[in-house]
Amino acid sequence: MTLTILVSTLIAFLCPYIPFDGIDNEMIFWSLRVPRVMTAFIAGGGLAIAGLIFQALFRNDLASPYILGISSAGSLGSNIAIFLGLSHFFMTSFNFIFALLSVFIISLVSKVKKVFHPSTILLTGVAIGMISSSAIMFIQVFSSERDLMQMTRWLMGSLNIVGYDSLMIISPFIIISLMIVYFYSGELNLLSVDDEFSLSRGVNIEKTRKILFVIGSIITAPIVAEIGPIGFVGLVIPHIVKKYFERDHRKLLIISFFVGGAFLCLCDLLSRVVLANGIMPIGVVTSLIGAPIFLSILIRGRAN
Amino acid sequence: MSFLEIKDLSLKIKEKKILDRIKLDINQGELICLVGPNGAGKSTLLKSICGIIDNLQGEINFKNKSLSEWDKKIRAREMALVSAFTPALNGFTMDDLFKFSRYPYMNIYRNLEKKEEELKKNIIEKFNLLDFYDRDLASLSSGEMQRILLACAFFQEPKILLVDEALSNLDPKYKIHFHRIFKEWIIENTSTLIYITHDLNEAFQIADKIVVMSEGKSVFYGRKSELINNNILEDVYKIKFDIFEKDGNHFIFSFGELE
Repeated sequence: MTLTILVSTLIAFLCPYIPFDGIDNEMIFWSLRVPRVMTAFIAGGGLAIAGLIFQALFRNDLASPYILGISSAGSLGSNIAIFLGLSHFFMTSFNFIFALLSVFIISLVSKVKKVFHPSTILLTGVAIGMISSSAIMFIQVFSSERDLMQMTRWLMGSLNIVGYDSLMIISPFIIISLMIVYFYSGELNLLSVDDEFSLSRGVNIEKTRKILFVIGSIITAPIVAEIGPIGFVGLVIPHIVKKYFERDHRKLLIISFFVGGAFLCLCDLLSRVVLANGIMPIGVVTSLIGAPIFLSILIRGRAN
Repeated sequence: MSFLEIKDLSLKIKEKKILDRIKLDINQGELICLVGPNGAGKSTLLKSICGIIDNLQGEINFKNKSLSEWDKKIRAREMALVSAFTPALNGFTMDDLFKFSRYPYMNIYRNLEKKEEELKKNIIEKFNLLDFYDRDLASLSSGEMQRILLACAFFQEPKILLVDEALSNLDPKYKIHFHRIFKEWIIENTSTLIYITHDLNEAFQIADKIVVMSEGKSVFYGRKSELINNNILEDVYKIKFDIFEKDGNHFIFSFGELE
């Protein structure tokens, strides 16, 4: 565990120095590279933790911020802002509002059904995701070519940021949420087993589920708002981490954060250095690199 | 003061009566066996007592206080459940499972205190679980897993232990071993054990009182001697029973269906 954390931190520290040419120019280094890598690290870690929470909560390895419709709803918000020709500030806030709106709808549906049941939430999330996606396409049909281009680029996710603004927006949400979640690691452990198992040990599962669901959403929303819907990290990193470490969420939370962060840093590095000098959107790279790794781990896991 | 009082407990799922006006008064320090055909509502009754089932009608009072008024954590300090089905626990260690049983005593998830570690050590020795320390839980057999989960239930230090067929996969040696542990534990802690079994002989040997359930109703609640002297079991199971006696113990066998 310590080793994993060390290696992840090392990766994060080294990333800004690569490629080596930029180091001479301090301006580029401090106002472009460092904030970019730090944002990637925090965002990657946050998405991984959100995924870890959702997977334990719904006892489903497919649960992720993506599947639950939070990313898609947020994206719809951003695209509406682009369509209306609003500034970046509105893109971010629309995104955040729509993401929280999806959380609100999900809670509303479960309130009507009177139980906060995993499958109800998952299915509601999927429905919200589908509605959002079609709404995005609906808007795109009426958009100008220039807006269309911006929307598409945005949907691919981007870490092309300047300065520390994004970092300042994202980090407080993630750090505070992480601290709160850490107090719930016992509940995460128990909930990941079984409802009956948790209930007989005194877990207030309805209340805990609601709290953790909201926290997972609050982690996801600002990340999607700032850098776009980056799939895969939230789904795969928790999966991989769970495969190689014990299932105790006290450890899993911390490891997932570091591994998720390092993963997104590396993907960003690839997009910056190897592929097309940073033009390649980060969302494309994460899936392109992550999916084969994930598949190979799945296959090897089966063989054992 | 009544310990556990169940009054007119009913549960309907889609017009089917799962529990039908169950009425039981259960004392402290008794071993109660719950028997009856499949689908009689035994497991549902056990889970209801543990507070796992919603939409119940009627009352369950524990220590003169309605079960729904109990804080969930504090209730879990009083009651532990060992289910018939073992959930998927791969990835966790035996240590984790023991820690989960102390959840009701934790404000935040923490390591065990010194006193708890000692209690754990005693239980692990008593239950013969030392060999399982380093093993992945996924590699254990269902019988071995049941032994660990039973041990964990004792580690929860409940006043009522609810056991749902959890000895079904144990070999005869461990079955007898657990019978002794049950009896000792009940006397030492003046606690109550409610135990579902399909083995009527087992019920005859260990139970202080027996509850016979059928179609959601509790059709008999009393001592073994009363049960032997009437034909409730034959009515409920619809098979013929013969009862033999040896050294004061009763043995029950069935030889075929009722004509």
